Amino acid sequence: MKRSAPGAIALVLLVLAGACLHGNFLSPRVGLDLLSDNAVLGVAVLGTTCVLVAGGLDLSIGSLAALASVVLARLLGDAGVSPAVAIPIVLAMGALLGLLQGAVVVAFGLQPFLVTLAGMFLFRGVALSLAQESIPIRDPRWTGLATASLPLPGGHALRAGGVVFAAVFVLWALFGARSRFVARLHAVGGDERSALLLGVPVRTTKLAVHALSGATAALAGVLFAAASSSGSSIACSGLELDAIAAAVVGGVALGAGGGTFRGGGRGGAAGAFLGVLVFGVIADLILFQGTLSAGWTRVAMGGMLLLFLALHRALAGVGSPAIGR
Amino acid sequence: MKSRALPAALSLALLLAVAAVFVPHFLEFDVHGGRLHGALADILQRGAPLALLALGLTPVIATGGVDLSVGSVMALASSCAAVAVARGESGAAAAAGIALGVGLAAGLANGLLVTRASIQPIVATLVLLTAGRGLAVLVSGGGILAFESEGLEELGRGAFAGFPSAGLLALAITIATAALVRGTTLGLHIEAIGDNERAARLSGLRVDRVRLAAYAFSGLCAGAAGLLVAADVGAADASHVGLYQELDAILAVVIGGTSLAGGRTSLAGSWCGALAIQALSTIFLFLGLGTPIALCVKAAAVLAAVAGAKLWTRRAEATA
Repeated sequence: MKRSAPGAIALVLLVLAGACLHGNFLSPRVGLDLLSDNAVLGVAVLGTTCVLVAGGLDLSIGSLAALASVVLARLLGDAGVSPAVAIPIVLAMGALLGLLQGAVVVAFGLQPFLVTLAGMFLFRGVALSLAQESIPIRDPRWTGLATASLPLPGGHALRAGGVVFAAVFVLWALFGARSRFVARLHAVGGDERSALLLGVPVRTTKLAVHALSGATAALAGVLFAAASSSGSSIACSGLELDAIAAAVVGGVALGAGGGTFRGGGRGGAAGAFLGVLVFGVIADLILFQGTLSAGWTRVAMGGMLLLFLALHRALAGVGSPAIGR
Repeated sequence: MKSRALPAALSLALLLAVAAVFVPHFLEFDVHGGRLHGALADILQRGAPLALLALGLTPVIATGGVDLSVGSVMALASSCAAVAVARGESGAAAAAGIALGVGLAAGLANGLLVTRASIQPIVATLVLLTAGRGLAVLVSGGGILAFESEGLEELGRGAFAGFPSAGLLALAITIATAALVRGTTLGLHIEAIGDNERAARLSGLRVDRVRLAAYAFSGLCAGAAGLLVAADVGAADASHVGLYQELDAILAVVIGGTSLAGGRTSLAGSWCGALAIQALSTIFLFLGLGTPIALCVKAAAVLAAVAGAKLWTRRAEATA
């Protein structure tokens, strides 16, 4: 059975539950907003999933997203750079910072957990030193981009964030998911030594996956800036752990063999996107209920995570002993 | 074995020495209310919750696991204790019991997920990391919950022989745990499991029982840390208590010379690591430097600690 199946089933069940409880839950608008509202996490989860599949970990993405939003706001505001130039600069910066962390991991053989923990502190620190308070973005060209929406039949429209989330999802499904790069990620995450002996360029793959994670984190920061019309150094805190949780719900395996943070090699980004949508629907359900406090969202997310661990465990059966052990 | 804690102890000593030279008034202290006040007392006092978290995490990491939920469990324990006291139904001792009980229950839940359900530790404890803070918010009703309790105030801000009692308590618990672990075969079992779980299992060690105990102990320590924070402030803030403390605690354990790959451990090192992290914060507070620079220096400290640990083990292996 496909590892993303439990995620898909749960998504359908949750949406059906919403439809039964609330008459207007199935409206196209709720579905479109689901994409737009969860775009930041949805984009970031792509990089996180790839890193996890390769047996690594990236704790720096929340801080990197915040840094990206601040740098973008500075470029647009103080420097007066056009968005067409500023966005590529910010994405390149994210990829470069990710690459640097990957280089430290590869060159010195250090644990990704600790290297990206250092990155997490560093990027947040740099972001804070660039701006202690949130910087509003008033550039009309940016506002035009950020508030643009894709008109859809039936008078509906998909906001910019949702467009990017959907585009990333579709592009990844078409070109990324079956690429040689992803095959290499699985090889490295499954058994690094075997991969090396089989001629997989392990070091290059690790560098590339950290660069990808940095780039998607920066894109998440750009989407945050679009949604809030500002750059904020305290944005996206906790994004890294939410992304890991979404990936797990989507069937990404963490850890094989001994040690605290080793392994991976199973699952894919398509499942992780489902995981993001599952969390989004839970948040929507609690919002629709109206009387439940925000605490319930976290409790439901944790409960969902637990349920999925049990499901994956049951589905994995006797043949493969489960969540990567 | 004694050398493992040495780099952390040296780092702490070096940090304090540099601060003593360059930071004005760093070594000064005065006594009022029967208690020492000053930078060093402050480090001992404020570092206590982190030291407890790191203490609990050490056996978990040494057995090749990890507990990401400790920050959220801290928040949950402090909220539960605060609610009990604020309702006026329980005294300080009962509140302490509640906090420790909540921590122990959370730790057991983590341990059962890891041992019985065979779920990877980082994922298993992610459940309570997420749900624990949500529960804390639900228990405390959202905002900051203030309470008044003389007993808890004495625990959080009181003094024993002039020294801050919370700091001394954390140190005493660390020493007691180290004596237990090193004085019995427990330490050997923990390291054997972290080094090679299969071999440990085949040699007849009760691997699951030791690991379950490690997670339970980690939860218990997180409960105690939550209690200390609530007692210190006289309030519980479900959304912020212990936020990101799990990462600082793991960092403290790593600085302390315990390997993330499992199999090597030092409880004393973890205590030194936790105090070193707190010392950094206190020094920056003294210098009046803001969070941005503090975060950047912390990043540098992480890399230095990791690189240092790598060199240290390489040299140890070369000389062995």
